[in-house]
Amino acid sequence: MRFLCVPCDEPMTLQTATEVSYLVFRCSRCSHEIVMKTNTAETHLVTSLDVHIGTGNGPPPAPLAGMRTHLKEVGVDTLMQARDAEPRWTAAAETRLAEHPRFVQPVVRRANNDYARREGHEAVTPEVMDACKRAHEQP
Amino acid sequence: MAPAAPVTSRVLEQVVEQRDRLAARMERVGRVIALVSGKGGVGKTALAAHLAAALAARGRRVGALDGDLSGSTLAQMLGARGQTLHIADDGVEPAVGVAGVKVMSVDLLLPDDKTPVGWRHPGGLAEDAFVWQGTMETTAVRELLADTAWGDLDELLIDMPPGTERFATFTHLIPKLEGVVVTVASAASQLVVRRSVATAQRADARLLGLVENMAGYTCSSCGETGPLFVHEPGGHRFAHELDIPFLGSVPFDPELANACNWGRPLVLTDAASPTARALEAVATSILEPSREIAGGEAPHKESRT
Repeated sequence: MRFLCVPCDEPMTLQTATEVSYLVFRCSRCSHEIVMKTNTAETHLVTSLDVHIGTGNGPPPAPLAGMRTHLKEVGVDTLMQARDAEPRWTAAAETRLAEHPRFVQPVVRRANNDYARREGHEAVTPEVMDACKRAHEQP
Repeated sequence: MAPAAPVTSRVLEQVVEQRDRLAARMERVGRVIALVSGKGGVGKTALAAHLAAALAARGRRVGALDGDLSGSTLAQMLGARGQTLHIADDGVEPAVGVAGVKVMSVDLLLPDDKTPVGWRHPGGLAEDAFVWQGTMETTAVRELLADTAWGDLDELLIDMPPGTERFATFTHLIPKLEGVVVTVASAASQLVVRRSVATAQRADARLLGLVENMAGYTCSSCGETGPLFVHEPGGHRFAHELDIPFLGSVPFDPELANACNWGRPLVLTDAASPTARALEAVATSILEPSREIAGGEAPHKESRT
């Protein structure tokens, strides 16, 4: 969609789109501005495609940016930046892990990695595994 | 001062870029298989979880995506709830379920068990949500697929919500998408499944075949197996009517429900049980699409002829 400034016969350019219900267009020649008030439902139909009005030249969106923007509620600890490498496992912890049924071991390993990262442990030890288990047992 | 570059939206280009990101992600996935059904409550998610676990237990690299946003239970059935998702350079690391199945679900993003999946609306009336909600949900599934760092997978299973529209939509987004149709032998389910298959066929979707769930019940007291649905055609006949392969039937089994509740699929905990063996047979049929199961019919009194 394009708007032309009638006196200048110049295409008007979109200036800001922080609020997609009110889009400001300006003539680059005479600086005349107009505001397009959009239809909320129509506008949200477009944004529900997870496209960004007025910022189409920006960098690619961060992973799950759309979900994080559009979901009403996202758990605080559910999605975190992976800052640290996965913690190492001590031999004693590996031995403890091997006591679990084989098919459950990936889940137990992941749960302990999550816990260790969250609590700042560099290594998973039997003590960390105990603490992780207690944390999961809490209501 | 040089004039600022004009701000543009490039809406169409953004949509194309989204599609390209999805295509790039799916390049590293051997097969993408959607579990579909027109009707809810036929056990589609339980089958998805068990098939994912069965395939992973065979050493295959398996992912499972919960496409049923408002009824998301796949993470629970695969023992993957409560894990933190980490954002890495390549996308979001999925949760890890039993047997190492990589799991992604909106359930993993919600703060607690009481929070429903809800979408923000930009100051408009809540009753306008019907205009955009379907698009939002399709976008969310597309984003979960494209932004998850699945890595190299042999199979990615998608548990689709009841209904057929999203499967048809994703057929266009993922050309390699294949569908496994799940039904029970009730007239109501078969009516809707018939329409679902027609919708899929009109969209040129590839259907691997049909699985009949809850096919027969074995009495825990006397051990006798009888039908749950007595008047409708069994899975083999119904698949023949639909002109799609029959992939197998799975009996009704309370232990299967328990396995789902505890996130411990029966194929891993009680592989010798008749139900687990039936599920394994379906998994084999999926791995060998040309091999149609013969004689796998559950006991049915097919009184209508």
